[in-house]
Amino acid sequence: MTTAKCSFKECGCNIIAVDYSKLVYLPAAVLDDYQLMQSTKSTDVDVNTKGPNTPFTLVTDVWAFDNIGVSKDIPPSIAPETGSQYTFQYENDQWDLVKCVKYMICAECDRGPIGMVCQIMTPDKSEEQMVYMLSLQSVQV
Amino acid sequence: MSVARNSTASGGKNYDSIMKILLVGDSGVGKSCLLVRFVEDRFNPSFITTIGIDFKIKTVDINGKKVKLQLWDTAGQERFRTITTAYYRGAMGIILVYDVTDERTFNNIRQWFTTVTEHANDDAQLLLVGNKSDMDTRVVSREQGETLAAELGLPFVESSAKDDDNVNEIFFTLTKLIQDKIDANTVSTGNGKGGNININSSSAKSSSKSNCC
Repeated sequence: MTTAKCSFKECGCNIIAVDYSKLVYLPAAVLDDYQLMQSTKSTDVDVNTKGPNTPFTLVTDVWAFDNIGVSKDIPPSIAPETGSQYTFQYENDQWDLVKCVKYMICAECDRGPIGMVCQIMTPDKSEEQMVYMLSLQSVQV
Repeated sequence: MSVARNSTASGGKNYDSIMKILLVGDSGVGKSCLLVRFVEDRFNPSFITTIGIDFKIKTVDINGKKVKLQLWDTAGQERFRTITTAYYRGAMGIILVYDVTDERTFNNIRQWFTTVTEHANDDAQLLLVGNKSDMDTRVVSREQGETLAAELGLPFVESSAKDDDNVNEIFFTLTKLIQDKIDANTVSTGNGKGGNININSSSAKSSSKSNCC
């Protein structure tokens, strides 16, 4: 376990303990599509960052965070454009990222967005849940 | 929204207790500024400011315990008097904020106090905050704040949202008051294990409402 921190040196606020065995990977284009901040300082992230995918730490309970700011619901007028439907593996199941509902920012310096609160669904639409996804490329780990 | 969920995706919980804290007071007193900075730069994009912040989670260390705070701002709902009982439900701490440069907001604190005591849990810890104390256009003196606080039986601090340490100090002060109360209660009810605290436990409720010392 490592602690993800705000990537700005003058802040460095602790965000969450990252469990590397439970990361999820999405196509890197998700960062631009959802307008997530991309830190230049987190190049020492997992080597898996290189290539077409970008890592997220995914939790279902917001209390897993030590410090986090959560936005209100994103109004349709400024909802991020999603170029394509994103699919990822999480706990041995395949999930579709249906919608980005809220953004997450650093609780101390308010910089971000560093992650998002998303509605995800299994492809057969039998299961649906709301998850907190912190982009490891938007923080220091 | 439930505030009493203990599990995390990564397994066991990583805190000793959690507390829902609310900020109330008239519009414009700077409640939001106690929660969010409005400094805009490349990494503080305006679309986030436009959307607004729902809540923040902050972790503080109180007496060696890891306490997680969930901080909520009414965010303008007070203008329409639509703050519902649901908003107050489960709140363990409530910060009543006025603006030291606006006497009207100070005078309205009594009304807020009445509303809060009507809707909030009896054992919720209140704190009176005179905000914008750095402004030279102050019209409400520190003494006036202290007098009102003493009358209502509330602890009192002045704050400047421009000073981050000062803002964090407010949350820390309130949290410590709550944690001390929980610790005292845990001991008095005889189930003090010094560890986990179940905030849902009705036995943790105090019959005393007074914060006066």
